[in-house]
Amino acid sequence: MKRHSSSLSSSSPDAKIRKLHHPIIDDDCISELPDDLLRMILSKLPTEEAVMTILLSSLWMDLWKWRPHFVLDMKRILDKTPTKLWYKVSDQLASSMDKTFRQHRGDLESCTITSRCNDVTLQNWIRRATRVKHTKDLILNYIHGHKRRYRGTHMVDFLPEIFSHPSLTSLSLSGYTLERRRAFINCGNLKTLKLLNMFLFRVSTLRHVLAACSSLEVIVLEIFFVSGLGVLKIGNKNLKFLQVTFPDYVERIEVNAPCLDVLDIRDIKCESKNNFILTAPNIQFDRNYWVSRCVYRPHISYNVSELVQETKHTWYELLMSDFHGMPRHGTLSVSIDITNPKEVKILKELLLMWTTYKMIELEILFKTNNASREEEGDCFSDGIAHGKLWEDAAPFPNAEFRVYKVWMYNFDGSSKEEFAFASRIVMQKTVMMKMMIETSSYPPMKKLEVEAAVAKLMELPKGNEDLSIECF
Amino acid sequence: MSKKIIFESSEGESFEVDEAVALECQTIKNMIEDDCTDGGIPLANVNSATLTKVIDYCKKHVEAAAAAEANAGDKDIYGANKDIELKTWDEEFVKVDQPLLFDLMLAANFLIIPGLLDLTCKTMMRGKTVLQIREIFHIKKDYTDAEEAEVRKENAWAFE
Repeated sequence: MKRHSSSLSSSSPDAKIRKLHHPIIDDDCISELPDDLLRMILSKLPTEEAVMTILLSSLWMDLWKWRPHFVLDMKRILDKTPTKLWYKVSDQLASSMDKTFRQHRGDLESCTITSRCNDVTLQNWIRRATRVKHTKDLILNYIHGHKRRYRGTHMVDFLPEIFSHPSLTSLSLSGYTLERRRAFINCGNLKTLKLLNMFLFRVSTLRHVLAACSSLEVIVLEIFFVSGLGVLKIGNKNLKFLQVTFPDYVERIEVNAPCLDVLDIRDIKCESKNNFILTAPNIQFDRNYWVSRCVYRPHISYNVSELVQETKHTWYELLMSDFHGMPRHGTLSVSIDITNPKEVKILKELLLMWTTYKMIELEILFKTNNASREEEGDCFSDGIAHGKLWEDAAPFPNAEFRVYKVWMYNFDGSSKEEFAFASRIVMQKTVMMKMMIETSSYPPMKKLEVEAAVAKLMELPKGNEDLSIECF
Repeated sequence: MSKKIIFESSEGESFEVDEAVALECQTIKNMIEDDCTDGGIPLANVNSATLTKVIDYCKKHVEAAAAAEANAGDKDIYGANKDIELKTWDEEFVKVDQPLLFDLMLAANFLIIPGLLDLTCKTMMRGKTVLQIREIFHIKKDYTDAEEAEVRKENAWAFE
């Protein structure tokens, strides 16, 4: 099919300007636009809306085909179909979607398949998405008939190495039962793996899957095990972000991750603290609340550092994702350089996740970053003087946030910013019951100095009268 | 005092804006870097109504970025809320009639303002039926009924 408008993109800019000036009156000016602009417009539409533009005119026949994101979603139609017809309808949908998918041109950034089709079709689509379309981000969701929240009961036996294409860096599976690990052999290509609402027979299957995906940086797990016996070892050396939801018993979990910065324990049932072994220098906190006193409490451990915008955004989204349909609750441990405005901003975002419930406990490990402070002088590269950081008296993180107990480690009484931060949360109503400051590990002189600072904190007018401040 | 840049619309009307606002447009940024903005920048393909909106958009986004930067410390950080506020502003911003939206998209494409281009492209056809699109943009159908039936059949799932 010939596009007469294609001559437009090659014509001189002036000619284009004249042509495009005062468009929409009576003539079909949108079809006159350069192809790349039209493709861009269509790539912003949901896949099926873009496909429908074929009907506009023959000029539009091919435009939708160049979209970077492709979504094959059966849910929209199955939702309005009686369950007893699902088998038949999903078969018809699969063959129609297959025809459309084959028409797509170019490579894909992402491909989402929300389906209930037979395994052969699904695996063909996966292979097309990865080997032909070089998809970077693949999302596979299985549609369940009933509103069973977690039980993924559709068993699929993925072909060996099906996810091992080098261009595929992010994979998300939801609602499937995984019996074997063979699909994940040689998956060193994957940087992100999400297994959501999944059903696994054995803990060892997951262990092998994670070991085979050797380059993972982000792991999100929401998994039911038929048998929780055995040891789950997570030893990915590049791992930075780990989110875990295991509603069923797991005998023992060992995480050994030298680069881990975020550990979001949403739900686990280990028998004791000794059955969850965490070796991760960046988030080696003292209070592993999630297994303390046999109370299973959601807990985030977060080593705050300056992050590139994209990473920061991705992690934030993951932390904010559906929390069993509830608002975020539980406890938080952070290590932070309180003199760094960028880190303080991240801390603020973290605290503000507790919108409905009061935070039970907050543990803060103060990082000192003297070297960089001296180098950069009084000013960060983005022009914010950190000296001013804690000067004003605005409530932190806001006027509503409340926490019952705060534990502080490595608190330096002589640091202006750390003292200002501590005094602010004392004077506001932020801390409700206890503020505990660790001093026992300090050498005697330092200990005296910090205790003197704590004495000053005690004299401040408290936001909550019942608040007690102690060294330990 | 910040440096001012003068735009001239297709009707010959002058618009004075801060350099920071003009820098939102990649095309203008390049011109400023090449030092060829003296005596104003004539924009023969952008009319006054469109240019006013484009400047509004750039101003708002420069202000929002500056506010976010200032708040990177502490003082009155709204973090994510601020983003939502800007998003809402954007949504309101593109609630204009179709010809103006179209002009805005062309201006964003010409001046290279990625955010505005993305926003206008997103809004251009979203949530409209094929019939509505055809009507709005005066696109003439050139299929025979048989051809249309064939296309529909080929991609049946999308039309259900």
